Amino acid sequence: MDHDLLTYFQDQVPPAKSDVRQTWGVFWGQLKIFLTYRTWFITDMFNTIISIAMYYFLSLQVQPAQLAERGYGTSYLAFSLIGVAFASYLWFCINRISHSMQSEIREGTFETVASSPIKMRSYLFGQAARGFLVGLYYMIGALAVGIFVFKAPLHFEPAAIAASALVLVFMILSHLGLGIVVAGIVLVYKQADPVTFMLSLFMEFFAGALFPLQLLNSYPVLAIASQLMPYTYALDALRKSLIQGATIANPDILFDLGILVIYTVILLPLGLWSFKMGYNKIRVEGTTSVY
Amino acid sequence: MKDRSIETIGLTKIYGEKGKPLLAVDHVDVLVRAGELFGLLGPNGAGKTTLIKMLCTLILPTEGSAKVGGYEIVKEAARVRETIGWLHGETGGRALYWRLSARDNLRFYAYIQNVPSDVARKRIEALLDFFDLKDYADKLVKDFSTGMKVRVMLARTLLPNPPILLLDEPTVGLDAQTAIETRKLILTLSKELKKTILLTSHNLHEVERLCERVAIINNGKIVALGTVDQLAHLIREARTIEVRLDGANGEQATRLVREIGLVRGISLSEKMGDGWIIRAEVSDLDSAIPRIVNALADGKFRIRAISEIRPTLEEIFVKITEANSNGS
Repeated sequence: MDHDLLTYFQDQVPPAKSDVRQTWGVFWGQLKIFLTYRTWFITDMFNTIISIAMYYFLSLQVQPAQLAERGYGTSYLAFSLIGVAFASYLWFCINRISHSMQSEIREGTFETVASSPIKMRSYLFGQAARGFLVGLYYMIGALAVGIFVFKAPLHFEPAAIAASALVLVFMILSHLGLGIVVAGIVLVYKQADPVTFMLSLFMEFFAGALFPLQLLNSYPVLAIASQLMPYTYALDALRKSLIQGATIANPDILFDLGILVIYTVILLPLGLWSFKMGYNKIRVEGTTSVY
Repeated sequence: MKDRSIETIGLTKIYGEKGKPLLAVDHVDVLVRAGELFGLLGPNGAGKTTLIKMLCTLILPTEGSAKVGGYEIVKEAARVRETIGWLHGETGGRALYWRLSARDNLRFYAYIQNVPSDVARKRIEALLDFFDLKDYADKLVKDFSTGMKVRVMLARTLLPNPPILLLDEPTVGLDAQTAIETRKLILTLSKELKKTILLTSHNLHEVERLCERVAIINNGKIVALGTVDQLAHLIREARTIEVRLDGANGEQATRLVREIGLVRGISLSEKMGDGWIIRAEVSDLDSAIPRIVNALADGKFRIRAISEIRPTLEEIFVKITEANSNGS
């Protein structure tokens, strides 16, 4: 029996070193794990539909003048649908990375991964890719319910969708660094739920997920804070493309995209650096398996 | 340098904050040669796992240095990870993805261990077959017994075919038959594929049977290192000779043996079947054997067999760790 097995281990084959292959491996494994949680999958979708219904009834009470002033059309439902669907998507993705990290440390799989040749960035990008793909399912579901059930007026011309898709990519990349920072916090402090909850509240509020940002003009500190949020620019571009049909040629969309690129360039390396610091800290403390 | 697979020099790990330090590994110097099957023994909390985790690059040392496969564990951690396969058997299978099947766990690790897909496919099937997991290969690991999980972990460790294996309790939780097969596999990996293997186990018989050299670690320090024979010498100034005699008149023979100058004492003298057995503690084995043989021959006793009794690794381990804990 030994000799049958040994025939497969006689030769030293050159390793298939590739960041993309490693990232794909983590994404594939994590997605398969996620798909085993069928009940969770259904309840999350149900929660999304309920929240859209709540905003629909809220939209019946809101005056459309302030929305028009910002260039977002006159439908509060369309306005809040985009704000909430994309904010939920973003937080689902960011939470996925830190939740996966918590679970990997608790189950002991993190140590096995960390003692393998995988690069930490491939591992994190693979985890994130799973979150962004699965989150897309909820976001598209929420938009579909808003459009087909509650008749939210959104534009779906190819040029507007192309602009939204590009904004979506940079929205993801600019926030990925934050998700990785939170994962680094999980490594060191073993808990990050209060941090992510606070961040999600801040971001939804300051980016104007549910109200037009000119309402903050009377509060200069809050108005400045809202200008510092990358999600503010993502949301502005998404609303302009999906509500007004703006394309990539629109100067406002180009400006928002430029800001998101700058945030990506700053936050992604910062996130990877802070994760590395966190990882080295737990290697010093010897707490790679402590949860 | 190439024959030094694992080498630690003054390797030290201190946990905890300033003022409350915990010395887990204390200036450990160990050299494991290429292709050697080396055992690391120690009571719980002795520092075995910390030492192994430092070699896996999971824990950073406080002082000292170590090389694994010729690569420095801090500065060349990525190269070290390409060289090792680590099994943490004591986790009882926790270190697997329970919501993936056995085959998918192995496929996942093939990706992150850089095993080319075509090679991985063949090896995965061969490993599933060897570890008797083929019928369960597509079942989720969460439904496996502890022994099955350990078998998946063993398969995962071997999958990338690393030159150095760090096997921390590889047979814990396995049934007797699989444990025997696994020990055979470990020996085969060592003898035929020339793998360097660092093995820890609470099963001292396993270590005694498999390992060429053994180090005993206690309170973070290596307190003994050598072959089992060399360790046996450490714990005994006196050595034991066992004499088996024909006939039942052993009491007189015992008196004769006791009167020999080199004999320090008699630890056993009793009838066994149709003969008699005497165990004598002697200070000089080589001189004592002919003296005992002559004395018994002069007394007209018929010697059936005479041999030295070696202490078991278990006895050696207990005596060394007790002596070390008592500060002697």
